[in-house]
Amino acid sequence: MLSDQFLGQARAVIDTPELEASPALRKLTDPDAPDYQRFALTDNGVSPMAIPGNPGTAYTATGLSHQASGRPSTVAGDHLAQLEKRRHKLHVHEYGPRWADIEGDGELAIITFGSVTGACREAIARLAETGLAIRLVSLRLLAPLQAKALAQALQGVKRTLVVEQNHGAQLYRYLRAETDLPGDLLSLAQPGPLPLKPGEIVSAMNQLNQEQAA
Amino acid sequence: MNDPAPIDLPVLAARDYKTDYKPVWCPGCGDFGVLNALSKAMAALALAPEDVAVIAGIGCSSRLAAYVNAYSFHGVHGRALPLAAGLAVSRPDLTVIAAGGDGDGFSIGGNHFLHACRRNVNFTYLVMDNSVYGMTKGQASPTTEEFAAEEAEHVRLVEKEIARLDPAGPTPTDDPDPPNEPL
Repeated sequence: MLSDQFLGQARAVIDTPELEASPALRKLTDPDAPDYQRFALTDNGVSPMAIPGNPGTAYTATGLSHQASGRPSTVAGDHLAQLEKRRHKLHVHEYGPRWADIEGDGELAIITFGSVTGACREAIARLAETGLAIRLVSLRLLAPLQAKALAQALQGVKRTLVVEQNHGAQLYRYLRAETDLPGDLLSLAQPGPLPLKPGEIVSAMNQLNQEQAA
Repeated sequence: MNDPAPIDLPVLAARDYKTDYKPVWCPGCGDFGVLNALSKAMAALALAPEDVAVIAGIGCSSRLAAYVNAYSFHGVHGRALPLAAGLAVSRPDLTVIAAGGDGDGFSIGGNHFLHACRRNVNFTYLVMDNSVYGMTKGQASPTTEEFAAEEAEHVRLVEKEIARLDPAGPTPTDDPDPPNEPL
């Protein structure tokens, strides 16, 4: 039983996990780069960084709105240009297959994220014993939502249960706002402190399946 | 004779350590004096601008970061000290200067101040203490004197100013007439 207390107080010797190299790009600038602009507007939104010690490229990093050079600015156009740059950078970044854990197949699906994923896996195993095949999509990247990849992952799905641990069904509402989910939908949102139990997820999935079959 | 070859070192004046940005400070503000003194000190020490990092908090005085010709960070209220400490530890080749005001340093970042003293990492901390939150128009700060605040804010200040923290100075019990009893 992996309770919080067990995780907090137990001791274990493990091998160093092998982490995938980060696919993020960080270009460094050359010494004395002419007309260096720390926050230059570029095609992929990434601009070369100057690190302290690099001559001729000192700049100010500020939380204030700023120009491409880093110079603080109160001009609305500068503010908008940098907002666009940051959004663009996140949207064109190639996130690869790590945006979600996708498991199983079938016309029924569960979408979830975070620590509820374990309870969902257990529910899916129990439902498999009753003959129901469930597809799991556990999001690792919430924003920007990978809507195209999500649609592909849900191809052929007729009923989807969105499972999350919060009172406002935030993931369900966010998904509905950002994209069109296929087929019939049901939200299972429950606040803490008690964790979601696999049995509750099984019940919700059976309810969705029977209601729509009726 | 083996005369060393002359080295062509650029000689920078104090003004070379300032950016061309026009400070947002009010006329007569003491922060101008701090900027002047800092740029003169950098010139006197002949520091290469690229080897200096100015890490500031938020507030009028923290704008100093943008006015110094150096790598500078102006970003998180009260958090200049942990950033500066991290930078100084990881890059001992740099001259690290933290800067900010009394609100930034003793209220929002008060805990960082204590830990910066305790860790004693090699960097310089400039506090521009004007005893008031200036940028947000005059609220009492941790160093506002008890009666000054009543006048400035027309409200009764329910707390005393913090004791002036001087890790190298006398403890309050050494002073027969302490300016402030610790709360």
